[in-house]
Amino acid sequence: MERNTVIEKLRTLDPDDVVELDSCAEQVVTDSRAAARSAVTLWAGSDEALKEKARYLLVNVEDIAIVPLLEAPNHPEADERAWLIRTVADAVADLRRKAASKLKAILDDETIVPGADDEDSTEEPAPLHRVCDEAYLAMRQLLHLDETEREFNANASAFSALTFEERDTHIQSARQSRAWTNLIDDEEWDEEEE
Amino acid sequence: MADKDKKPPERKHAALSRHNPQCLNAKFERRLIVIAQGLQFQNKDHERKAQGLEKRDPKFAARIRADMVPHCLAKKKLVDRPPTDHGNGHFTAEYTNCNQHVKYRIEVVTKKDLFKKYLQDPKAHVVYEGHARWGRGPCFGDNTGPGEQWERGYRPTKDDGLFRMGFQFIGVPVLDIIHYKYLTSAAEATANVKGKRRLLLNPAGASRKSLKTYTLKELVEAQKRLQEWMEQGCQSASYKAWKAKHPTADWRFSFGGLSHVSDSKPDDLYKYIRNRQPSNPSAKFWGYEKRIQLNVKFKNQKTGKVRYYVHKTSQGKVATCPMPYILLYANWNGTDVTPMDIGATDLKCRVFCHFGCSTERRNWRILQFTPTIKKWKQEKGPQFAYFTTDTAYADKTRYWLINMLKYNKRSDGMYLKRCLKYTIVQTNRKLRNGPDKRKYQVCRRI
Repeated sequence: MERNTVIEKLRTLDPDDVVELDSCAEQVVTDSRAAARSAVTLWAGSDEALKEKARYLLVNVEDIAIVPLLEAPNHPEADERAWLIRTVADAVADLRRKAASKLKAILDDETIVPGADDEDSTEEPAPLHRVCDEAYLAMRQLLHLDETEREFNANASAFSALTFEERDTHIQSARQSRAWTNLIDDEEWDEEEE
Repeated sequence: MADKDKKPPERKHAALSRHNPQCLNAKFERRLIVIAQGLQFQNKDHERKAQGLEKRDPKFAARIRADMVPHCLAKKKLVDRPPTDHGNGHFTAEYTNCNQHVKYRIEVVTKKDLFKKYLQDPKAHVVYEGHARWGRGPCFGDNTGPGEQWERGYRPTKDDGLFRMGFQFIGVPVLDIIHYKYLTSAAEATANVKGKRRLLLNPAGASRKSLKTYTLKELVEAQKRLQEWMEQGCQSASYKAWKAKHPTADWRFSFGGLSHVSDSKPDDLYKYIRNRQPSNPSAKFWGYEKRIQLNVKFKNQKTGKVRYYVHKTSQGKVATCPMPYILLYANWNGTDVTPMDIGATDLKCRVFCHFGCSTERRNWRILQFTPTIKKWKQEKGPQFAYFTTDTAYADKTRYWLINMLKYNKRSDGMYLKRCLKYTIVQTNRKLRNGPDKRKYQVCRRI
């Protein structure tokens, strides 16, 4: 789907028309991965010269290659299978670094996120959230891969029940954690290189 | 053949299906969805709110009316004929979805005995929308003013009060008791509250280490300090300056927010603790304190934008004050409202959704202990239960219902699971991406 078509669709579609919006989203996903999928097909073929060029392209399209590679059938050759998983892992790690970089920028944003319109109708109004609080929770999702969904929900609720000052303490200690500094250091190192 | 391999024929549009002869001839599953509206979230309350807003904000008033269940279905053309009002908060609607091969009947009820009846009905999908009462369980009644309906109820074994499904001891703000003015039983200092699977502290993250025993007088004093601190906040120069700019702002807590604090008298606590010992004023009860901050919410009536004033000290730090909580008896089995508790209910309904606030944390674990749920799990039967992960608003029920009725593939019999999966994904998407960008989710836990 072309860029202009997407814009036009978004302009005309009813926001409640979930079916159309879903099909639009599906189309965008299919189109954006189409080229990488073709490259994966060539990589899986027998032409060595094409295979090499396809590999080069797939490494360089970064995150766009992740899903097409993951959906590719198992390659008969061991070195290609190893290359595939290395490429995917590298692309995912790269994406994590990019997300971390964005998070780092908004961890200082103390603007309060506006609450819901009908807050009066709840027994216990939702705790106020600042942009940095949401960033902290996103940071948890990014770093604590050992946390189950239920544990994350419990921790997020506990964090939300804290006062701003208490939350700031958590954010501060998370920023000094090794997992975070490693991720950020990598990112800064990459920037310096550029 | 595997479930996913079966591709039922799709038809384009299922609305107005009674005119479709194919629909009439097909053998459709009859599905009953029961929306149990708890205390304070009933259609008549929404209607009252809409009437109050009629002049000030007519658009919002119209939105409230259109969003009521089952009226919201008519707006989306998901009814075969206009919904019927049977009086006393009882509404019905019907919808036939040819693609799903299902004839839906939607019932809105507001009584506790009906809620229990449908929980035991194997054909029903029961959705409770209302207060979680800090985890004590669904709560029913017509009168939203102070009174017993907020706890035990005036007719506890019939139609009002709590349907208990909570932990044995639950931490509830003192403010909740003195604001809603209900009789309750607090956990005496001799009670073993720290045992496994016994205790639920509110809000999330309250520490067990903070549990202490207090005399009622100490709790009353702590509550007085909190209310005085709030009043002082209202007198502060910075608040007055801010208020001058935003005259329609009203007070809000950061959590535990009961907006009518000014009507609440801390000394009333003595009256409402049923098991207090008047002859022994030094008798102690379990409780704890959790610091809160004060925030003032302001909504610009023209733009609809919401802004907050966060009360700060003269040093520029966010001001906080401890809020007292008291542990109440809130068991789910053999309670003072038996048989209106989950222990005395043979939960047979096909789907149960508890859409109160943070019910995943507050009620999911309890439901795991009940014999009927254990049976569900052992038999790996076709039953499903869903909970919420955060403060819940009325819209999730609407989204849930609309998405379930909208689903355009077969959902009868064994296909129900697929339909529910679609419903939950779409509901969460809508909550997250809708105009209010809700943080919480509806999640499946059984």
